[in-house]
Amino acid sequence: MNYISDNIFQALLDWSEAWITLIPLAMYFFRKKYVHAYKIVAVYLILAFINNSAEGFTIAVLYYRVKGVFGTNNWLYNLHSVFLTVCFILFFREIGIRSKWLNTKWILPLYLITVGSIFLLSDDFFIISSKVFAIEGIVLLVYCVSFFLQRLKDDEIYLDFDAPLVIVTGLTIYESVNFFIFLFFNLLMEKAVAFAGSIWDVHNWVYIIFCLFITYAFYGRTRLIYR
Amino acid sequence: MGEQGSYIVSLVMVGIGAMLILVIAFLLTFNHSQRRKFRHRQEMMTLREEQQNLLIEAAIKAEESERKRIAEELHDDVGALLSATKLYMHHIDTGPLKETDRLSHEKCIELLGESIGKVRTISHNLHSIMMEDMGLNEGIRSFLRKLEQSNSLSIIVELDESYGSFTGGKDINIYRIIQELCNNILKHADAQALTIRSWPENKHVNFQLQHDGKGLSQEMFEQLRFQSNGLGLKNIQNRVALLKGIILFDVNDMNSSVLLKIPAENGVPA
Repeated sequence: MNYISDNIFQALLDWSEAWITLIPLAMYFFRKKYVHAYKIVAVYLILAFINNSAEGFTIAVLYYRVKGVFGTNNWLYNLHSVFLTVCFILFFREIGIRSKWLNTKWILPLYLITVGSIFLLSDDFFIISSKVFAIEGIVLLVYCVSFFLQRLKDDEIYLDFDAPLVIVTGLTIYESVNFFIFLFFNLLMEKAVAFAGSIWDVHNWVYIIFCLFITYAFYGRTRLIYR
Repeated sequence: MGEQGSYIVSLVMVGIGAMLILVIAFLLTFNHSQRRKFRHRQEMMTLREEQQNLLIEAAIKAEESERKRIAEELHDDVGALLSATKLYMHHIDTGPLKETDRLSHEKCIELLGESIGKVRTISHNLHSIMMEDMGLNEGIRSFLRKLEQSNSLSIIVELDESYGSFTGGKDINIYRIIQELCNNILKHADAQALTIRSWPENKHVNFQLQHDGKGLSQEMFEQLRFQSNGLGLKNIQNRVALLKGIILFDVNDMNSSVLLKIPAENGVPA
């Protein structure tokens, strides 16, 4: 009995990256929060749902049937990292990050060129790339810290519900906790495979927390600004 | 897992722990700072509100003293002059006068009497001696009696006597608000009947004016008091703010009402 429940629990956790995205998406359509910044997050969630479902599907169905790169889901993780970073850079632009160092016009191309260069010159696109994941972590953490610093400097006080703050808090937790997992994942896969599998469960848990933060942000009422 | 593997595992664990602590500390600091900013802003708001109230109070005091001065001058100077004139007019021997001149003399006396009455009314409206001597309720009753006499409005007054006088010049502000509201009803509402009630309720004393004419809704009041010609409503709002009270307008098919809630400790005026 314990074995079955443990397996169900593990399967749920393994598939969490897919099903958890449906909760904030449902909330988004239920609360009709069609503000442009939230639309970007919703687009990310739809892409994440498709991508992460494909990750699970690849392992469950194709792993033993398809030989070669399409029998593994590693490249889907790389893809997820890229569109997560792109979507959230656009999200930060929409919520009004005012920093001359974080101009989307050059950050976004620079990020894409860097990632492209890594895959062309150094890493295989079909194997999880720690470098790409670490760059995602660094870029988004810099944006998150800038967001908080901007809020500290602002004269505005958000009396009621502040949805962008909730989303950014979730993203900060996700990126900071996972940063070292991302940075050392390739090494862990080489030197401690079992631990790499277990630590990915931590990643899944934090991803659930991140999606719950987004759900809460979509659930909250429109913000009031106190000047 | 080799030695190198263990080292990497430790590194990852320490890294995750350190990042977690860092994030929690950062979020707590951010939260604390936002709360401090919010408290500071609230203090500033209170201070600004207090300053605004002081200014309103000073303006209202100046207005009241000016009203009192004009009322006294009207009553003591103009009124006395008119009374003296009327007295002299009475002393004129109308015997040798022609019939038409006698009629003009009588008309003069009648008009002088009317003028004396009007000067008295204006003077009392400007400064209610009755309210000063007998308290708020008697001041309101006296004002409404005069209003009923000079207009076709039927007025019912039901004022509760369980509360006494309000302190700190609140009486005069309540009196002025009711006076202004009554004048507005007379001017704009086209009402036939007006009922004024008062009753204590928990930490408030309520005054309600209910009439059968065209009234204002709360939204209309909020809009009108920001218009440049809405001086009376602005004045009402200033006095309500000074009293730390609430004014609520309501309109329905049957009648319109205005409810004025003035803070009072357990029904006793503060």
